[in-house]
Amino acid sequence: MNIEAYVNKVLECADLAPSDKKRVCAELRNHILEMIDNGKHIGISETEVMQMVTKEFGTPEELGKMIAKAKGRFLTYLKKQARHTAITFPIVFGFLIMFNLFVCQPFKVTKDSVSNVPAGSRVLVNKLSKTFNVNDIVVFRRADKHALVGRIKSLQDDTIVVSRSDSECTISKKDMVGKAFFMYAWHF
Amino acid sequence: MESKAQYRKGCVRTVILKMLSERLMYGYEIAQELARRSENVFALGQGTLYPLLYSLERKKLIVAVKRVKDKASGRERLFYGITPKGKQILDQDIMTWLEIVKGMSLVLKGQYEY
Repeated sequence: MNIEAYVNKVLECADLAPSDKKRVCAELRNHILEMIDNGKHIGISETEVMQMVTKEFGTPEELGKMIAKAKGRFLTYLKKQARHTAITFPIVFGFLIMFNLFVCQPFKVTKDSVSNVPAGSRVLVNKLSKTFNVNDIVVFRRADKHALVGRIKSLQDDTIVVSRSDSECTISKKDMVGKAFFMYAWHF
Repeated sequence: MESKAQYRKGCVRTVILKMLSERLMYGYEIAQELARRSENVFALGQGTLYPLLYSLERKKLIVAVKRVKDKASGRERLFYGITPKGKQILDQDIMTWLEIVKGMSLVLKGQYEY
């Protein structure tokens, strides 16, 4: 068995986290190469040194298991998970932001929002919804971009009259954020 | 034979910590120096060396300090050093060892020459 085959088999059996794998690979390989260099000085061939390696280091399977144990199997598991998390988290985070921006977003109901909807509760709004009906609870944006919750009172071609507890607003359809499809409240 | 291995296993941690307390060393150097200074009593199976080093490192008794490229061979060597915690453990190990030697000497009463 040559150096590369031996070291690769050790690493395969050790199943380490990538950073540890790179380091162990370099250390083992350099150690064996130093043995070969020293062997050459005293007239021992590379083949004979590799036989000594197998005898001294043990089989690659044994050495791999010992290294895995020394590194800590649970610690190795955590290192691998951390690596996966570092990749997965930004993707999931990015997805959630996009989902929040374009598909579905929670809005808080203030005390002056909608009759029969408790103040402090939240509504989940479907931003993809294009059809609205009277009595739907909706979220719309005022001219100052502030989002408000209200209930549709009446519909015309391109304008919607939304009632709130103490007022009515006539808004354009393009100012609609979306239709509420779920309501919930946090109680601490 | 098994008894000898057990004795050595208990001592190897101490001798490695002792050598690293004197200076920084890399894996191959540790194995060679250990065999030379102990007159091959602690000639580790080389395979035992790295699992032991990694285990000591995980327990924070030693630490991989620096990588140095050997000019002659172009190989990168990873040097290990002892940590403050490692020094504490070394002191404890030496105290334990001295107690054992004292106890054994008293029981054996100079019947054996070393």
